Amino acid sequence: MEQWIQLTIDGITLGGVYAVIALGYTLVYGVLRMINFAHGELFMMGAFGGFYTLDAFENHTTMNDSLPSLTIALAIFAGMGTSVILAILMERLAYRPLRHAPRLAPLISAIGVSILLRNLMLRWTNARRQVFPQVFPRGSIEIGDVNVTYIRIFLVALSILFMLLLYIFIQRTKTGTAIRAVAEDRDTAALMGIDVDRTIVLTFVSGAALAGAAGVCYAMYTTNAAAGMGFLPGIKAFTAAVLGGIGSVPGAMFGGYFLGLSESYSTKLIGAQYKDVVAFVLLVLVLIFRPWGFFGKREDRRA
Amino acid sequence: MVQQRRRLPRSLTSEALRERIDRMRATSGGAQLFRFGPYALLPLLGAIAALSPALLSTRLTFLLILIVAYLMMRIVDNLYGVAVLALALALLPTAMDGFERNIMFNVALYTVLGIGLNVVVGYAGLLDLGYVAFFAAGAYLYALVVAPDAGASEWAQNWDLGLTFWPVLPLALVAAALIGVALGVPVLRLRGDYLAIVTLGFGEIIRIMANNEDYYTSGPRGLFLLPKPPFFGRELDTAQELYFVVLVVAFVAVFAAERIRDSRVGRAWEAIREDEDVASSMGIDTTVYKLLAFAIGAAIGGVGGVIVAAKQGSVFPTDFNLDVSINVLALVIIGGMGNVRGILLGALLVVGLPDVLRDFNLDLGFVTFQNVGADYRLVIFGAALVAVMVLRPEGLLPSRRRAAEFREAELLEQEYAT
Repeated sequence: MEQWIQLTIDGITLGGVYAVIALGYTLVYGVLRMINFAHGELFMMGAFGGFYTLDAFENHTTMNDSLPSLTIALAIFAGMGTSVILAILMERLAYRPLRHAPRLAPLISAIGVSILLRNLMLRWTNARRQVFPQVFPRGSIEIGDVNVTYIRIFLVALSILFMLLLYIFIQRTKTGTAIRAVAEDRDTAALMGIDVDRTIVLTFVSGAALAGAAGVCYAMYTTNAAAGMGFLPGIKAFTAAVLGGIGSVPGAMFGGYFLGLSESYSTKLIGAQYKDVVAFVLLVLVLIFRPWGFFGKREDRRA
Repeated sequence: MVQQRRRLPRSLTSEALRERIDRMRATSGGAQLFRFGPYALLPLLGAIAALSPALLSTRLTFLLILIVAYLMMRIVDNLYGVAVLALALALLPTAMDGFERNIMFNVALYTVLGIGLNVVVGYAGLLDLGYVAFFAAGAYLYALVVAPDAGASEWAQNWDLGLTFWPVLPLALVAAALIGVALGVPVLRLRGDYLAIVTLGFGEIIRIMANNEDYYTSGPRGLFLLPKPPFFGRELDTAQELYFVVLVVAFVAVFAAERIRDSRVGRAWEAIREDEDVASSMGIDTTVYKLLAFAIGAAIGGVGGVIVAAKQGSVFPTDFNLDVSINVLALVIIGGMGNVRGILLGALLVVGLPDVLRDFNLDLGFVTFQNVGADYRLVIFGAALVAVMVLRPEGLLPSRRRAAEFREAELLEQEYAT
């Protein structure tokens, strides 16, 4: 029993990370009908943004002793900033010129960006994992026989906070309304006086900010950062977005937790070595039987 | 929605637009200018081959060969031209050292893989990011059924099938084609981006399975001490001899692929690529033709896998990571989708050039990049994929039809604007 509770906690932690990344896929897909293949790399670059910022403060240990929360916030904001800047560049150089090209073109361009960033970081780090500074206080809470570390609680709380913020941003603000309008019908939105280019950039920016923050948190959680760290979470988050119905914000959140939990339980039911296969199998099953996902609208079946 | 509205059927495009497309086609085929090209270039190629060991550094030789090959490919449009190209490719390794022969082997091997993937991506328009799955299937099949040695897996030791290279070749062809169909069935309904991600997943699943199914594959320890292909009482064990094997396979593959493209099947693929819904309403059985594309592409990949397993004498799960799929896709796209000559150029650029520039150092004054070919090759591919899509989406050496398709949307755009 304790083991199942532990697995559930694992799944929720991981699911939160997937959900936050999945939101980026869903937002960009909503406005551009394009899978941003390089989104997992934004997650990775965010983690490195946080890592190098902490690294630059050579006295981070002393700073951490006095003000741990400030250090953590600094790392997360640095990660968000890195991803946002990259996302703006990416959109401008690799995607915008292809907005009216055949569908294959932006996809290949996105694959190109993804390869470029991953291998650039691979060279930069000499293909070595970087040990992420231990900024987060160690320790855990014992509930019965179940052990929950502080960082997990932090991760779960932060992912829920980010999702709420995004939800409010999309539903309540003027920019959010513009994003939804462009997702609905770009041409009509333009006729209503919405600056479509600006809205698309803002969509990328909000997705990237979430990915960057998730990257830093994930790196703190796993205590390392590596050039290849964005690949699997990227694919899994995409799966999560499809599970929930791509284009749907609540769907991405649901998909993230669903995938996190399935993956976590599968380590016990099937075996840890096939943990990564679960996401792919789920993806294929959903696309075959319910391509619009759990929360997507049935009529716009885009698969 | 927006995308669909822009894709007007041919018959509805304006007269002016059709004229512009015709004009573009006329200018892109510079073939007429160089009628005698292939013959004039033969002595040039011979001269380079003859002089290279004595006068030129290996790097320069390779670059020259690249340029000549490029020029030849631009102008080769008849059987004589192809024969000249074949002869040149067959003679080249005789003037090379071991390192360069290895490069030529890899270029030829990736040309074969490129032709296979091109059937799926270039002809049928199905973006497959898991091509490595078929390559791995061929390689592991070879490792499992050939005469086992100390490095074989438990399964291979138990069964001891003891086949040799030549019977495995057709066997791999069939087995890979079946795997292609098996992986193709679940993804029949998927298009574009979804197809790309799911196929990528298949490639990863195959690698993870190779890593974990210890009884069959020995897991990460890999399978080794595999026999070389026998040939009239001896073994083909040098890079040059195996290069000839790949070259023959490549020519067979090119011939088959071009014949299929020009057949009824090829026309059906073209229709599916242009618009699947229209194709199916015109009576084309899209299921059959899409599966056929997967099967043929996979079969060619499987054969490539057998050859590489035989050449290396070993297979490891790490040989079959995503980078293989990316390399093959990059060479097909950079070279020019849908065109065999483009693929050869792509293989030279994507597989050959980085090896030649392996220990090349680029000094920009303020910063030095060391070992550009070895370390930065994938960085450069990434940038090249973006650049090709933005600047020349049809690739360097596209088929004329594919170029017209890629430009069509652009031309329509201009047409709307005016």
